[in-house]
Amino acid sequence: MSAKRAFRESPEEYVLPGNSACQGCGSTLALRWVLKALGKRTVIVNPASCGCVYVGLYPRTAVSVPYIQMAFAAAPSAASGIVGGLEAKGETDITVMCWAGDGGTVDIGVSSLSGSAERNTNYIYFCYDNEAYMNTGTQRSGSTPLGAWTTTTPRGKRENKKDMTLVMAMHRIPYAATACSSFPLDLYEKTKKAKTIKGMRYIHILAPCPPGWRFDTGLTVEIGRLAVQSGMWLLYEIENGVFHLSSPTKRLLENPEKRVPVKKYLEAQGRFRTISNEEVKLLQSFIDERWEKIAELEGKKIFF
Amino acid sequence: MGKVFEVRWHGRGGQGIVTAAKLLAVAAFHEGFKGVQSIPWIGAERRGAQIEAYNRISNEPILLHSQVYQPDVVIVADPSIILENNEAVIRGLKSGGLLLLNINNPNLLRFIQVPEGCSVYAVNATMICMDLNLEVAGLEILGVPMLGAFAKATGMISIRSLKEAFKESFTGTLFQKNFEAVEKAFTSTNKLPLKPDQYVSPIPPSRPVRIPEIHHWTDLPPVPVSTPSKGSIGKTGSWRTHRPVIDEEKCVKCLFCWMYCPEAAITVNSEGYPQIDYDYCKGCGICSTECPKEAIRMIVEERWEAT
Repeated sequence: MSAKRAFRESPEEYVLPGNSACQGCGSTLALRWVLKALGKRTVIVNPASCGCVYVGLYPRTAVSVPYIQMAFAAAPSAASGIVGGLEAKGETDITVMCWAGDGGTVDIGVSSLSGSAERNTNYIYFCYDNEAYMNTGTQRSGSTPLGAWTTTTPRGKRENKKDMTLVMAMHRIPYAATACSSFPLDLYEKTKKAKTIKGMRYIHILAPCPPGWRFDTGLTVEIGRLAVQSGMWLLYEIENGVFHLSSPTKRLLENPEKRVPVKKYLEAQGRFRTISNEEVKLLQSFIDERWEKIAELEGKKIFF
Repeated sequence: MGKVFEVRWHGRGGQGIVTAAKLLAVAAFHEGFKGVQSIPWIGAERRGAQIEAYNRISNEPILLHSQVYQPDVVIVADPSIILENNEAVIRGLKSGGLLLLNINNPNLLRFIQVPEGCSVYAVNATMICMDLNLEVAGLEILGVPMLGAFAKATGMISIRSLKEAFKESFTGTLFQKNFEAVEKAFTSTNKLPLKPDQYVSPIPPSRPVRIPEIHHWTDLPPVPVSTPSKGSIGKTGSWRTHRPVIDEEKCVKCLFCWMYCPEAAITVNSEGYPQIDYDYCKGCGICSTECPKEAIRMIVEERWEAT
């Protein structure tokens, strides 16, 4: 699909301009394309996150679909309630979705999220992952990668990033996928596909954050693209247990010479300025091992 | 308690305003003041959004910890703020106070209004930062040169105390660069002559909003439901420091700029060309980076020339 075709298919905007997101925000770009795919008949539940802020203050809002702000740990529970209510009313054409940040997903919201996955509640959970608590000024989260600076890890984080997509997929939900805001059309297609599936669906979106990752606002898309090209972020879908790489990552699996060394991705961002050479090597070997592993998994059923 | 000297800073998220206020408090302490405070007021942390910071400086310990409502000095680090809302900047400024401006274009001068009896000092902080390459992630750190301007305009704080404060926060070349910006600003700060019609009567300070008392649930307002609207926090075009301009001759209507715009500020006209809504475009520059034909240029925003 090209940008032109996407424009013909979905010209309407549901995230309105003049919102309070930062300049060059990756997560508004992602939300814009998610809502383009889901359309007007959508209800959003949003735990505490940047999303709560850029949606705006009473009496005005920047998102033109029903939007409920929820406590940090309770978004999937609220969504479950809404799904139940809509089912009781016989409203079948409304999509319920959660729009949560990485802190609200991998740290604080994980218990209610896991519960809703276990019940296979009929909704879509989107995690936009900017790899730290950015709304409160960059504190480390479970999703912050190894070596990244945050205000609570001034010499770089020592632990690896939590792989939430696989955690969620292993709940045996019908659909789990990763996306990146730098590939909006890939995200658009995945969301459209998720809309047609019944049950719990989980999409994890990498959304670069200029103030927190310390790069120029004009490079948001470029940095996300480097994350995918270097293999730091893989784009894939797990549909009924079958693992499929999405085309931007699949191309790199087939043509290893097109992969970018992870060093290039790290050097483009100020948050990795304190990373040591050993940690860069560690990340690179981790990525190389992962390429070998996913080459084996491609097209296979990974539930066992 | 003796006289408390109060300062209010205006700037944008990412310009080092909060850090500068902190450094000012430390420098004032080195100068011998016994009571110093620095208070940031950010709301939600947003790069490019307006922020304020406050300082209190006194010869004795200060017991008041609120925001500053009636400042002796107002420092405006980003020129676009005074253009956007002059009244908000000078609100509560005491008669006989100081207004300290970063002015990077002399044409800007005629738009400024101050309360009677105030004096205005100006420095080209943007230029100083650009000359010294004093930037973090593409934004000039305007707070630092404003400290030098403060030292010159008020005479309260010496360059030596500022140097000591900087030494505690920065090392090596970072210290050199930051301190050089202070020195440059100190020597280039000037008092501005204003025309008589630019003096207005003082604007009363804003006060915290009082919440009405609620005794019974029927006193509650109806369920607050927000209405979707463009510009939910106002015209965000004022956040812009650089303006994207589309060259239609080079444009091949691929719509990549429309696709990648996080703000949805790019629309497509009937001929298929992208168009930028300058009321809301925050000037992030993604469209310019991503345009495959390099048809979008970023030029320095000079909004006031049009007004």
